[in-house]
Amino acid sequence: MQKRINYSLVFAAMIVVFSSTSATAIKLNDNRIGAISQNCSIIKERLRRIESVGAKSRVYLGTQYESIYSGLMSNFSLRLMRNGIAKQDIANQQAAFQSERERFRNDFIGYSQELQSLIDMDCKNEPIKFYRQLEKTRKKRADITKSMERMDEIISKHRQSVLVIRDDLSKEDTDE
Amino acid sequence: MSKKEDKDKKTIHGGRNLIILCLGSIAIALITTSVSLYFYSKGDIYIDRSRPGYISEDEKHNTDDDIQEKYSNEGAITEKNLTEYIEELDRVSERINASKNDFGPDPLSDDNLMITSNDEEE
Repeated sequence: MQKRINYSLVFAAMIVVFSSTSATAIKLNDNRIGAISQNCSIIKERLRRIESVGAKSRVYLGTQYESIYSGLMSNFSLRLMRNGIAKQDIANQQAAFQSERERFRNDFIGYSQELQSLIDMDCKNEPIKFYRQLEKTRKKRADITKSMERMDEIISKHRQSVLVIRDDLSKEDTDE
Repeated sequence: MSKKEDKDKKTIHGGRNLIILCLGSIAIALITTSVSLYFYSKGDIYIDRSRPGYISEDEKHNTDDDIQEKYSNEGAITEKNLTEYIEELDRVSERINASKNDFGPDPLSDDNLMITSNDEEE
């Protein structure tokens, strides 16, 4: 029974590998393979430009996220604490934002490693291998965008929580 | 064995130890530097702003990445300063939103990289 399950798992894995390979093969017809080999130097030049622009964006976004975390969220939390206002959701948002910042950093490193491998590849003589690496790099790039979206979500929630605190204060003032 | 010969032997022995110490120090320095460089090249090299050529000088001066919002961690919590806080948060969010497509899929698309066959172009 155990053996039969093992065989089924191996067979399923083979199907997955085959389907992903054939998906690349469908996308990558002869003309595209030719285009990669023919435009190899232009492609590499564009990839280097993408690398440079990405580095600049990472620095810029990293500074903005740092500004939100250290300059705003942390100080706001501390100020609330000093005024005896305990808000668990604010503390949770601060912690989630910090861990997402770390993830953004690691996602960028992962993407950069894949992009560097792509740039170093011989696209003229190994276009299929190059295209597979390109697909890997695209996935890593998409991870960065997802991380940015998650941080955006945390910021929106944080803003909402601050608005609630403000409304509560406003109500207290009206009651008095 | 005379006292003089004994003294000479001690001096030679000390010199050999000094050489071993020097070589050992060099070997340890080489190993630790290699390990550090290995880890640097696997990760931090991609986010090291001080690395030559990481961002060109022209690009460095065109960025407003030094603008940082700061909210004071001291003072009372009032409606007014909460509004100010939200405004500061919105200012940074706006800057982030302006760059939200910086890691979009277009730059690595087949079209942008000129990986399109002639049939598709037609």
